[in-house]
Amino acid sequence: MQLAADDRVATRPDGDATIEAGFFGPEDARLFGSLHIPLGSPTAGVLVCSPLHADFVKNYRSEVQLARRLADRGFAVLRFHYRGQGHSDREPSDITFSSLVDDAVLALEDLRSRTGVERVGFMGCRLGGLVAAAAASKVEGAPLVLWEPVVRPDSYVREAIRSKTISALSGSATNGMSSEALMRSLDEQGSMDIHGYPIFRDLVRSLEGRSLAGEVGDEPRPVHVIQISRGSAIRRDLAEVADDWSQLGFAADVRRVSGDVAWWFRGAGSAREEPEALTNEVVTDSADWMTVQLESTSKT
Amino acid sequence: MTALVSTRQERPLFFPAGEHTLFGILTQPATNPKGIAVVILPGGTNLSMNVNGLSVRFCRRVARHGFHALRFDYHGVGESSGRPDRVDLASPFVSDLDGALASLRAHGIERFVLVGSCFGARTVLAGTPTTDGLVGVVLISPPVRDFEMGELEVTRMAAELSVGDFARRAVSARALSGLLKADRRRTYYKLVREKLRERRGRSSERAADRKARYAISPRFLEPLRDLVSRGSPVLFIYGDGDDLWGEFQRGRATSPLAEVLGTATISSTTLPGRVHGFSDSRVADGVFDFVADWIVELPAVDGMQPAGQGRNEGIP
Amino acid sequence: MIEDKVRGFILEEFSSEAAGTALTNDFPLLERQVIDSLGLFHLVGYLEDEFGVEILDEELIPQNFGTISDIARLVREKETYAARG
Repeated sequence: MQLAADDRVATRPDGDATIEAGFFGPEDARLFGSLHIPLGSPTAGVLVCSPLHADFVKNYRSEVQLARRLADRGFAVLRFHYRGQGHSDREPSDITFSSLVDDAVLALEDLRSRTGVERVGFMGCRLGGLVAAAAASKVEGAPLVLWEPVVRPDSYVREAIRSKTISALSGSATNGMSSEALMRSLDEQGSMDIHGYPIFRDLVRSLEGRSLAGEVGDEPRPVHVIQISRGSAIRRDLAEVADDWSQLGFAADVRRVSGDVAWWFRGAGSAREEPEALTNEVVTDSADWMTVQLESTSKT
Repeated sequence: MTALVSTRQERPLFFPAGEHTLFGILTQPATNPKGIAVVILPGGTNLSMNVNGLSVRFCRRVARHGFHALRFDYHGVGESSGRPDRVDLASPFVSDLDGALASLRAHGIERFVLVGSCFGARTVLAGTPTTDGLVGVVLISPPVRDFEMGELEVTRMAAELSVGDFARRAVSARALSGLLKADRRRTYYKLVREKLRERRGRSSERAADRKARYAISPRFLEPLRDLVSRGSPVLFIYGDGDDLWGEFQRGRATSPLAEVLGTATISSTTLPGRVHGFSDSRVADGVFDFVADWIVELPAVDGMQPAGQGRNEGIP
Repeated sequence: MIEDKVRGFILEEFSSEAAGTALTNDFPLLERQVIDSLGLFHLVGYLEDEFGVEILDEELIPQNFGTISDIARLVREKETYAARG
């Protein structure tokens, strides 16, 4: 059994839409993606930029639900795996922020070439929020939805280390490495293991000095941020960046959805999560917002 | 050693499985195809690529040695259709596995090595009695009892504590003060419910099903017996830090599991650390390196009948 | 007051776990599992956000998070240290 050229993609119906799942990109380093194609010609497209590490797995099905909801409304949606993650080529150690953005740009080209859409929106979750922001900054006025975005990447790494330390406190960690030992492992061995996911030095270094505000840039665009928390207060870092965007003329807002997602905690804390109801609320809110943005601009 | 395998040797598939359409990636052999497919089933609700892409690297690795390899998403997970079902060891996703094997047969592959971890291992076991062409089976951290995801501890405690111990613990100062904590109340409720179930069961529950929650499950034992009778090589892998390893060890000290495990075609190994859940990437990579090496060395791989000689490593 | 802010956060964030408790400054939060590991994670994030302090990993010990008084003491020490420059 030999692979034919058209074996790159497998297709199945999904309601009125069609899902094409398979590989795209340059032959020596291909990406995996799932393209949701609506019935009829899509009016616009949406690119979904996933998070990394354990977040990638945790958020997967929510991204599928979002894509299905948007396809039901006539939009083409591409979800993809960065190279070094999921089914794509390359190794996790190859991932840097630049490679993530390059992959998003490639995915955007693939979305456009396969569907013919001109108008596009972007969605990103956690670290994928920075990637979505960087990719969106290359498309004038493109709307941007961000789920629990990482505002400063150094906090992402600190959270990862902290989750391991806290797990050790509760006795659920697999080994008791201190934060110093983890950072030493990062410096000397090139990676540190967080709950089964190595975080590599090259990625950490490539994130240094970056920020969500920096990746979004100064060109105004609609931005919708979703914070998932049980407490009602908006995170200070999100409130500040949204405020800065508003000052720059962005149509930016932060919406809190009540719930709890144990991003770094695999298994732990899941008793407090209500995945289905929470997913539905986040997906519905995001789809509604993106629909308004893409439909309003398509009429201008 | 052959060239590295990449997506160029991979083909995405949608295939039917019961009422669902599942997604998988079939990795083709890089050289000298052996006509054998390695099928990997992850634990719980894990995606087909598994934690940190373990299954992706594993499939590409065995493909370098001439095997086809299939990784797929269970129904309700990843790219597959459907909604996720609760993960219950008494009801593994056998129809998903059957669909995967049927898909491979449709591609002309008739011989298989099945590799499963935790819930995936129990799904493998449940599927083997009706699977022809088995070359080998690998079971990574398989639970020996039946319970739902998240209920390992409560069912273990219900099984291990006598009624007297249970009652003494219930009236201890620690337990009574724990009633003030919401999480503890929920845990105690589950424990009491589980103990009652262990003693009396539910009216709708067969005695055998009830017993399988607290002791070696026949759903674990009977497929193993079947594999032994067929002479299929089986490899067990646990981590010495796994809770499930402790239960396996206790179980193997008693017959009838001891009889089955003493057969020459069954081998087992323990690795240092925690294997279950793959929460340490170095340990996890080591597991799959070991599995790949074991598969490559299977006697039936080169068309020879198994010599029937298993090996046991790391077992005191 | 720091204690009141922390208490307010805990009551809101961990409402079901805190229900029925008299959340005094000396109430044993960890011992009574009002705060579990995920909760501690969120609490630390809140403290850093709200009070502008940095909680070091080696400070994630029961003595610093056992009660509201412990938490407030930790925050005050950090604020004092920061003020001294």
